[in-house]
Amino acid sequence: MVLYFRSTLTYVWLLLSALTIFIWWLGTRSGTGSREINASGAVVVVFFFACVKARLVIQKFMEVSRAPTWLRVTCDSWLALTFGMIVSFYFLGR
Amino acid sequence: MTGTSTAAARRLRATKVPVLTKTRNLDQWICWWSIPIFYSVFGLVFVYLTRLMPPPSPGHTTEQIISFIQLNATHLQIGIVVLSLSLGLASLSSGIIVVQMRRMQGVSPALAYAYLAALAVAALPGCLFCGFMFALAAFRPDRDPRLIVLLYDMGLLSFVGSLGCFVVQYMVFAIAIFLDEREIFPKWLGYMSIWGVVTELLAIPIWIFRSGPYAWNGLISFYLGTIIFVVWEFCLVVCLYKAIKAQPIDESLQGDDSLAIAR
Amino acid sequence: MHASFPVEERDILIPGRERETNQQIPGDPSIWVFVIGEMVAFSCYFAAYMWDRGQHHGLFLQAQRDLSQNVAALNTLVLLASSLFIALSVHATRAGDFAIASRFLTLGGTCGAAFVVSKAFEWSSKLAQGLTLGSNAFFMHYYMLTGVHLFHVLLGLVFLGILWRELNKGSPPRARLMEVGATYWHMVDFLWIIIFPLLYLMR
Repeated sequence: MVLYFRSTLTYVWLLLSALTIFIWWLGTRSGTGSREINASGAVVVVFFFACVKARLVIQKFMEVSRAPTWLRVTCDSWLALTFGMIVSFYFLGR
Repeated sequence: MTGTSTAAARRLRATKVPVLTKTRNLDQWICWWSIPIFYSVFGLVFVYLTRLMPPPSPGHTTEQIISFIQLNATHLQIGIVVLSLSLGLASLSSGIIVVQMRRMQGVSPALAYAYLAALAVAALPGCLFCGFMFALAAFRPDRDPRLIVLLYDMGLLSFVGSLGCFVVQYMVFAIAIFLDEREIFPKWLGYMSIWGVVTELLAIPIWIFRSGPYAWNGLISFYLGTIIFVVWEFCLVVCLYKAIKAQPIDESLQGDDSLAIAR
Repeated sequence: MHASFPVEERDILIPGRERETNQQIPGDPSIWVFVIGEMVAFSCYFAAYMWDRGQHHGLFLQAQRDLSQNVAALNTLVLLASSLFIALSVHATRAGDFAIASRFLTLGGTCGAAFVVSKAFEWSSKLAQGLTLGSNAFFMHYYMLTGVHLFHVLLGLVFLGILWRELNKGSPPRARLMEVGATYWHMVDFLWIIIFPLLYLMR
């Protein structure tokens, strides 16, 4: 059973977990206070990496990297549009 | 001996089943046509005539509510008459879906009956009740304003918020499709039915909010829900068409004994 | 590696030439109809949330401080682990190791169940503080987003149960069914990956 862990998927998972911890760290230390990381910058970075994580899950876990072009394009477009929508609504709403 | 029993079977079959309907599945086609007809009438009544879809806001003041009713009074009354007369068509659509669900292999007939029962229960709050309440409100123009607001709330809350019966309908339909070994309906229709369940979950907050995306006229609770419903209904009609077309003419339903006696 | 059941052609990978040899839709087109539809639907929920956040910026900022970011981060890690286990379960199924696949599936399902339990605790602690669906605009979105997602997790657990039965029924399991179930589960995972920063980390 342990042999199965020796696969790309495990490395992907480690990367995903590391990115999760990174964005958690960044997000919990961001804000509008003087001792906090700038909130706007943090939001862009956090959501960029959240979308990177989602893309990793889609491409590697869901095997979309091996899927026909239309599916890959659809998933990537959704990620790009979602990122764009969240970030632009964030800045429009401030 | 086998020869005589098959001849006897044929005779029995001929006497038991009217030739007209069985040669072309005419009974099913009639039911199938009832669906686009019913929903066209439904759309005409709710969208064009009574202007209850999209619904007026829960945030309206008493004066706005009363003026909405009074401006639309005649239309609301015509609407309820048309709706009451045509609601029976909806039962034809349930009937045809039950027939197709009974054809499924590996699926308990209980699911088909649950579907039928769910929609029978849903017809009142999901459609008719709203028309009743608004026609009631229009019936006596000099009614106490607070009662008119009550009728307004009753009509629209029940219309958008009649969640449970539709959840059951979508759920049993999805389960039946997934279990079906004959693939009467395609699997993706089953997944779309799960969206139907989600739209009912999305309508939960309408009982609390009088504005915003989760109010009874909200972008999510109403508009997204209605769009998903329309798409689902359209796909259902297309899939039903294909299922009836693909159905062999003299196929018997599971549990149908009229041909078994002859064997 | 057992070759005791027919390995589908799609599962034979030539290292380095994966793109050419496997232009197949993972699982089944029908599950992707569902996944893409849910992606669109969740974008609508996200957009409604972000719109309201723009309208009530101060309220949202204040209300968000009531949420536990640490627990949510832990939930994200748990869900990611569950996805790994499910993906490995599919690999094991393709290789013919059904018992191992079943074990991975159980591990994945346990992580999923842990997520549900954690969410239940989170909600009950918020409710105990008097923060309900109707408290304010932020909590309306919070309960709706996490609630609809939770419904998908619960449904996912049911699907995983079906997959477990498929692996343990005695006859060779259908690899396609495993892939379909796994695709659904990964969808639940990547949706949460977006929801987590949206609700908990945005300042």
